[in-house]
Amino acid sequence: MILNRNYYAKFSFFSAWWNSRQMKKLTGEKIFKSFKLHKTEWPYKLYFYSPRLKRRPRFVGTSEQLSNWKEAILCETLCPTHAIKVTAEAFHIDDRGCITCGLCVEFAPPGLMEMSADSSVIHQS
Amino acid sequence: MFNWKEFEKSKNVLSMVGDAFYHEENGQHHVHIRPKNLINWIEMIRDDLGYLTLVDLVAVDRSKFPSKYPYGLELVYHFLNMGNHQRLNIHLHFNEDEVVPRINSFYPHADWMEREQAEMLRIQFDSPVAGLILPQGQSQFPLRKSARIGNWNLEVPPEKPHIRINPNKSEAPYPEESHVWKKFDVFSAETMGNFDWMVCFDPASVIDSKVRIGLHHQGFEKLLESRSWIQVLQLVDKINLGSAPTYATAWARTLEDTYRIKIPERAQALRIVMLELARIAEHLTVLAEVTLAAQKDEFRFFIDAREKIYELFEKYCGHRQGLGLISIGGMRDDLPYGWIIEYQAVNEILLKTLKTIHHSLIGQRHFRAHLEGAYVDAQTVLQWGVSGPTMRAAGLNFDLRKSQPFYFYQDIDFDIPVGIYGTSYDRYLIRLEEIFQSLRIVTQVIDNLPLGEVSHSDFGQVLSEGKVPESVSGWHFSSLESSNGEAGFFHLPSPDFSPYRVKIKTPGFSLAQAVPYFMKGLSENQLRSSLASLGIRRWEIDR
Ligand code: SF4
Repeated sequence: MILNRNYYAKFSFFSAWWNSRQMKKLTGEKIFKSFKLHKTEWPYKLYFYSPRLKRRPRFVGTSEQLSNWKEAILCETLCPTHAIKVTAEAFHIDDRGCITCGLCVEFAPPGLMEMSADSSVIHQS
Repeated sequence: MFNWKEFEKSKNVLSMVGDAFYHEENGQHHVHIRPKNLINWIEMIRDDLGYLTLVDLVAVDRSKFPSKYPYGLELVYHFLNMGNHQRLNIHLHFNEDEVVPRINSFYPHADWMEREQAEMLRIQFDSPVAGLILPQGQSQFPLRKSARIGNWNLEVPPEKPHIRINPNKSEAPYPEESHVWKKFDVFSAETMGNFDWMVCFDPASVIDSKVRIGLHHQGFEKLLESRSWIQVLQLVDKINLGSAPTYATAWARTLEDTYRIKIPERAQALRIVMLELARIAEHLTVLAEVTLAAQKDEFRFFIDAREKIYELFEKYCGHRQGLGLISIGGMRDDLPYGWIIEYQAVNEILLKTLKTIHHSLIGQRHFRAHLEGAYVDAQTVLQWGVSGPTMRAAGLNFDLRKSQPFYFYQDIDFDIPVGIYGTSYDRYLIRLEEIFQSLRIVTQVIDNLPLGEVSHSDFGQVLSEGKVPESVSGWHFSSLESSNGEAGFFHLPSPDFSPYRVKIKTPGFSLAQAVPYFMKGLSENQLRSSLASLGIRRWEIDR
C-alpha cells in the first residue's frame, strides 16, 4: 500500500483553517473528557492500579520452612534481580531491587510466598 | 512469503559447495567454514545468491567445554535474502592465534558489528579495529568466559590538552574556514540522550558527522549469561521500556522455536494483540517526539493517546508498559473481564482523534518544513542494513509480518504502508498509517479470539525433567518486526538451562551507525526532528 498522495500536496488556506478549527474542538471540553490524564488528577484522586502492581511479595511460611534450607533458598535463586536474601532467621526482600515480576510466588512451593495487599510499592499520599 | 520449495532449492545449492559442512535447522541454513574460505563464501553469497543484508554478527568463546569443541572461538554471520526469504548462518571456526578477514568492504554495516565483537572477545582481524563501546585503555575482554566483572584496571594514557588556535578553523578532512564542527553531547536535546554527536556544518547545512556510542553500556549480555531462561524473560523487557512485550515475545519465541513447543491458539492471538498494542505505543512516542521537535503543541495529544494504550496494559497485567506479560509457553494470565470493551472504547477514541491531529499538523507549513530533509534512498538503506519504518519509507516493501508470518499473521487482513521519497515526512506518515493498520489487526483478532487455555506446561516439563531434544544442536536466531525494525535474539543454549551466549539484535544499533549518512544536507533546526523520526532507543544501542 503506497501512502495517500494527498498528504504530499499543499493544503489550501481554507482547509488549513478548517483543520485548525477541528483541533480547537478537540482541545475543548467535549472530546477532551475522553483524555483524562491521571497526571492532572494525581494529587487529589488516586488512579486505579490493578492488583499485581499494588501487591508485593511477602514471606508467609513458618519458621520451620525457613530453616529448611532447600525450600527457602529456592526463592533466592529464582529472583532475577537478587532482591531476596535468606538467612536462617529472616527472609528479607529488598523493595528497591524487586521488579514485582512474581517469579518467587509462582515457582515457590505452596504456602511459602504470597502477593500481599501491602501497597508500599506505590507511595500513596 | 517463506516457502519450503525455495528452501530446498537453496539447500541443494549451498550443500554442493566444497570446503564446508552444511546442515539445516528450524528452516535456516547453517554452513561451517574456516577463515581462509571466508572471503570466497562472502563474495559468492552476496553476488550470486543474493544475500544482501547482514542481519547480525555474533562471536562466542567456546573454551568452556574444550573436549567437545576443538576451536577456541566461533563467529556467526547471519544473512537474510529479501528476495526469497531465506536465512543463512555462516559459522567461522578458528583458534585464538588465527587472523580473521574483515568483511566491511562487502557489507558496510558489518563495521560496527566487527568492532564490537573484536573488543568484547579479543578477535584478531586482518586490519586494525578501533574500539567502539568500552572505555579507552581497556585491557579486559568482558564476554570471555574467564573474564570477571568488576575491579578492572583502567590504564588510560595521559591525554595532552587539545588547544585550538583558531576555533573557527576545523580539523581535517574539512579544513576550510567556513566549516564548523559542533558538538551535541548526550545531554543535548538534539540527540535525546542517545550518543555523542559531532556535526560539521558548511555553515548552513550538515556535510558530515561522527557518532560516538557506548555511554550507556552496562554489560547486559554478560548479565544474561548468568541468569536462567525464565529470569532472562523478566529482564529483557528493559531493552525498550516503551514497548516492553516486544522483546519478551521475541525471547519466548526463540526458546519455543528451538525446542519445538507449540503454544495454544488463544495465547498466540493474545501475543499478536499485545505486540500490536506495543507497536502503537512506540509509534505514538516517536510521533510525539517528532512533533515536539518541530515545536508543535499537538505532541500532548499523542502522549495522551499513548496513555490510553498504557492503561489497557495496566488493566491486563498491572504494569503500565506491559512488563511481564509473557511466559514461556504462552501468556501469564487470561484477559480480565471487561478488557475487550475497554479496548473498543480506546479504538474509537484513537480513530477519531488521530485523524484530526494529523490533518491539523500537515496543514501547517512550519511543520512540513521541519520534516522536509533527511532524504534516504533505498540503496543507502540496504547498504546500512536498516529495517523497519525507515526502510519502508525509502520504498522497500518488506515486513517480517508478511514475509515470514508467525502466529496468525497470514490469516489477518492488513496493509504495509510504503513511502515515496524517503524523507522524515514519509517516516512520520508511515508510522501514523501503521497505527491504523495495527488497530485493524487487533480488532480482527479480538473479533475472532479463540477459546481455551493460555499457556502450556510443556516447557515446565522440559525444564523439570532435564529433557532436551537431541535434534537441538545449538544456535538459533529468531526475530520479529518491532516498531523500529527487526528485533530478535541469537541464542546458544547451555545444558544448565541458561544461555551460553545470547546476542540481542536491535534495530537501534544499525540506525545509529547509519545516522551520519542519513542526516546530510540538513539545517540545524531540522536535526532534532529528523533524528527523532528514526526512533533510536538508548538501551538498544548499548546492550
Ligand atoms: S517478585 Fe520478582 S523481583 Fe520481586 S522478589 Fe520476587 S522474584 Fe524477586
